[in-house]
Amino acid sequence: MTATLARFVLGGSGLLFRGGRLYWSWIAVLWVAILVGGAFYARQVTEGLIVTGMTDQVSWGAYIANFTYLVGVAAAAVMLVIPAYVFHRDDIKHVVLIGEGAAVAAVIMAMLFVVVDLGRPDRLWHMIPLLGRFNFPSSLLAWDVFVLNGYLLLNLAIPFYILFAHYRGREPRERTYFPWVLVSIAWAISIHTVTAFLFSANAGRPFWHTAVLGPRFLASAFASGPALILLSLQVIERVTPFRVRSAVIDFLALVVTVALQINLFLVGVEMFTEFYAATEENHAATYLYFGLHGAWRLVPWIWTAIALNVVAVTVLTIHPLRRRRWLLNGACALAIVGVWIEKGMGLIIPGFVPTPLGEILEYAPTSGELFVSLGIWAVGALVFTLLTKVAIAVELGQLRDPGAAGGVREGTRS
Amino acid sequence: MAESQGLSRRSVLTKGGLVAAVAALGGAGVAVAQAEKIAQGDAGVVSDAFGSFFQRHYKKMSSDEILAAIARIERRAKRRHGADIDVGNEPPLDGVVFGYAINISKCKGTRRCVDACVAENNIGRDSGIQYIRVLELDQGGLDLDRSDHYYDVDAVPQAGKYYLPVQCMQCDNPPCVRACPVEATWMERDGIVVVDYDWCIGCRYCQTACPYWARHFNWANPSLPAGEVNPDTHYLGNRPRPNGVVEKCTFCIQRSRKGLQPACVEACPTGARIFGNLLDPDSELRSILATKTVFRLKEDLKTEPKFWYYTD
Amino acid sequence: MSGPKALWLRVPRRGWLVVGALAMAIVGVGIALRFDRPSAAEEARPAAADEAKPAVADEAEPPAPDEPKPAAAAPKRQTPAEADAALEALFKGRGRSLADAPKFVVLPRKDSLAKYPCTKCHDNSFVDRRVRPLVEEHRDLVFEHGGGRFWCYESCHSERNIDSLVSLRGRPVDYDESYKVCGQCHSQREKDWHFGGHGKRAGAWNVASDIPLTAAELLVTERERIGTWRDERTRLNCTGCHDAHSPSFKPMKPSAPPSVRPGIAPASPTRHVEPKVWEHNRIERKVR
Repeated sequence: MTATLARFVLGGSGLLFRGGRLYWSWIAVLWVAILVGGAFYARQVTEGLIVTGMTDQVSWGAYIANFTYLVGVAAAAVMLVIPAYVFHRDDIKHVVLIGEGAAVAAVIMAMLFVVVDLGRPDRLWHMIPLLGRFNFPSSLLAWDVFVLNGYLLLNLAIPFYILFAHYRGREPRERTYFPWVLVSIAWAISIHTVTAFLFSANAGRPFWHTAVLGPRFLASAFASGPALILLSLQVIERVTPFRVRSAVIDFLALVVTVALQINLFLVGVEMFTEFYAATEENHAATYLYFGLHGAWRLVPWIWTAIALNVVAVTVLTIHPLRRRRWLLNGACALAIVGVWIEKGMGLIIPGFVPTPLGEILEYAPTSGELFVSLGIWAVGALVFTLLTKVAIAVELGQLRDPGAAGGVREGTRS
Repeated sequence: MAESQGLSRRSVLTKGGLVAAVAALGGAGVAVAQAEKIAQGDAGVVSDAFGSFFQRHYKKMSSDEILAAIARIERRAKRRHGADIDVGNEPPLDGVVFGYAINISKCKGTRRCVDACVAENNIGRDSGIQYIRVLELDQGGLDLDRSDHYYDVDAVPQAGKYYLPVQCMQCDNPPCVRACPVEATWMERDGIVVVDYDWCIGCRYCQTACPYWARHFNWANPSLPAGEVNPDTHYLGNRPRPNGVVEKCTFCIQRSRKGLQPACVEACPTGARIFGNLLDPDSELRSILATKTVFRLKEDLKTEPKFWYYTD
Repeated sequence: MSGPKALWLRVPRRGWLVVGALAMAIVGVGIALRFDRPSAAEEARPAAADEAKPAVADEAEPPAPDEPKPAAAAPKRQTPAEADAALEALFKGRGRSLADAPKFVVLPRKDSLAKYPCTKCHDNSFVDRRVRPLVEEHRDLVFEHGGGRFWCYESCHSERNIDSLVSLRGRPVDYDESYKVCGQCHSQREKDWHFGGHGKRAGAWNVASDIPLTAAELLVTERERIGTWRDERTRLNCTGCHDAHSPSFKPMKPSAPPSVRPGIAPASPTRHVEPKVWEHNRIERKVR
């Protein structure tokens, strides 16, 4: 068994170094972004977080904004897992491993964004239970660390088990993995709910202290995550021999449509509750949507995001438009960007403006923050690329255990 | 078959070696940056760096470990700031829970309390951190949104205004303590909410959770001129703090646990600040709470601050 | 074994329903009556309405006639000490008296008064009671106290002994206990001061005007100078912070405003002035 496992790991790793020009130029671009981001991060570690644009007034910025968005993308893998394993849709089962690979990449990115946001990343071991002090279950951040790590393990273990079975030319035993699939479905909902609770637990920040934050997070997650997977699947179809049935794309498009509709409804609900009886609790929402006492920097961002989402949901809702692939892709891209703005900058920053003492100080990320963020996105893209490369090879039968009956076939260019 | 396997194994090894080299270079880059940071702070004393890396939580350390940690802090203060300091570790006094009251009829907004606090607590001079923030409000209401934090006038009090100093409320039900993922902040027996600066990971979730904007972060290495360092410090209080950790008002724990008044109380020119033991029914504080018109900020959040405001 | 059935078994089901309903009705009426009873507070309050007759009626009432007026006997003379003791006995235990305050020590004043003792210049035999601008001596004295109701002698300063203050009853008050003079008019303040709601404990700076302006000077390295929050209270006298002749605090220059984190541009100040509710209330209030 261990020999097969070693062959699987080595074979998979070896596969990662076989590719054509497109593959290697993509890897090169990613590595450039990673190294540039790494250099800026090294500067941040040396000098401190003063190289970012964050202040005592706005103490969380671009890093946590990206973290929030990516936890949502990670949770969205559940939208493929449920139809694949619970409803036994074979066409979706064909691509579910890609979705889980995306989830792994997203979770790794999210955790990296938290690490780069820390003032003392050298003290990360303080969070390890027993060795350090893990304030569970009191601290929502401890909950988040726990559920994200658990989700990462689940989304590595289950696909690994399935791929390993396929590698050996066998079908994985449903009785082994199905309970864990159910766990991962519940866990996926929980990671984003816990991330929403991270914000809504703060009674001193009325912009976040709302029950609708959890549903908003899930709705926007299920709008942006499947949109990303949808686009990635089409890219995979273009560059690999892997085929995706159009029913899968249609299903994902439907998920994005409904989620985006629900998301816009929840945004509308939030706006009503904030603005009908104009108490001072809505001063953060006023800052976000209309500007407050001369501070207006976020206003164009949020209205752009709303416009993008509205256009996207209109295109997606109209069935004949959704059926046209180029319109669908465009709408998904708009939805991804729109949700990223609305959930990232449009959610984190207004929580801090004005401060609990009524002070208004705006935030703008520095170039260092942007390069580090790009570097982490590149890490996620790299992880996704490598994982899907191996998964596709196994699924297409190109990576097989040479010790098994089928023997190895010389892999084609992938 | 074996040949193709062998070829792939060799190519795996070579390419794997390349990747490992690049990763090692990248990792080395970060490590060098970290060592540089340590070097800036610790002037190359590696053993202190190792000691502080493996240092345990304050509540878990034995007394020997605490003494070693204190020795490290004193050495580091000498290296960084050129000052000889004495780091104490006084435990909470028995039968004492500290409370605070400010008479807003008397506060004139002179901000002497702010300056005394910065001087006493070894706050980094260029970081701009101030534990106390004095708000100037229009008479006729308590609307924090319309407060002016940055009033810069020739004479206070200004007509039609009143002044409300805000600092850590030392809540009895602190949201920051609930929020910290590593328990780097907790409430001591005498009611002070403290931070173990050598345990804090700098995630700033406590800063997010605090409804009074009382917690502040060291965005850079705090710089202290040698002549302005206060040598009388406490491990949980005004000992010089490192980069990347959260700090806040501790009711001058280095003073109050020795029976002395906090710096802000001393420095107030109008006698607007009262400090004392809430468990002592004869204290000035308790008589104020019993007889004066008293309120607390954001009472509806049920944080149970041990910091009151009263009027004449 | 099958004898005649017991009575309660012979009652049909309907009957039990009626009995049950009656029982519930009785219980419900009993509960309602219990709540209808006056509460304990109401019972304790006497029929006070009868007693609280408006006092206006009494004023018109003539004094009780036919009472023989006693011969006006000369009251026995009381020594000052006896008078003080009698006053204390009269007012002891009446609410929150100054005697109930926890004991404290007052920082002496005489050693910090530059011109004390006054007999250095003043001769107790010659007293100039005229109200006039002080141009020969005490030129730096600004008198802004009392609103024109009093002048130096017998309001606060003693005519008979210039080295002493004087109370409203003519009793001498030492300069170290000058709060007894101030407390005659400012009694609420004096009570606050006794109990801790006003004033300062002695500490690093015992005169408010001596508090330095810069942060560096505010660092107290000689810890013995710092005041305590526990142990015996040593409080400053009123005149420790207030100038007795011009007591209100003068405006001061505040210390510098806070700064934002280095590397961040400070927000441009926007002094948002919201109109008061009576200024922007546009609804015409029609008066009937």
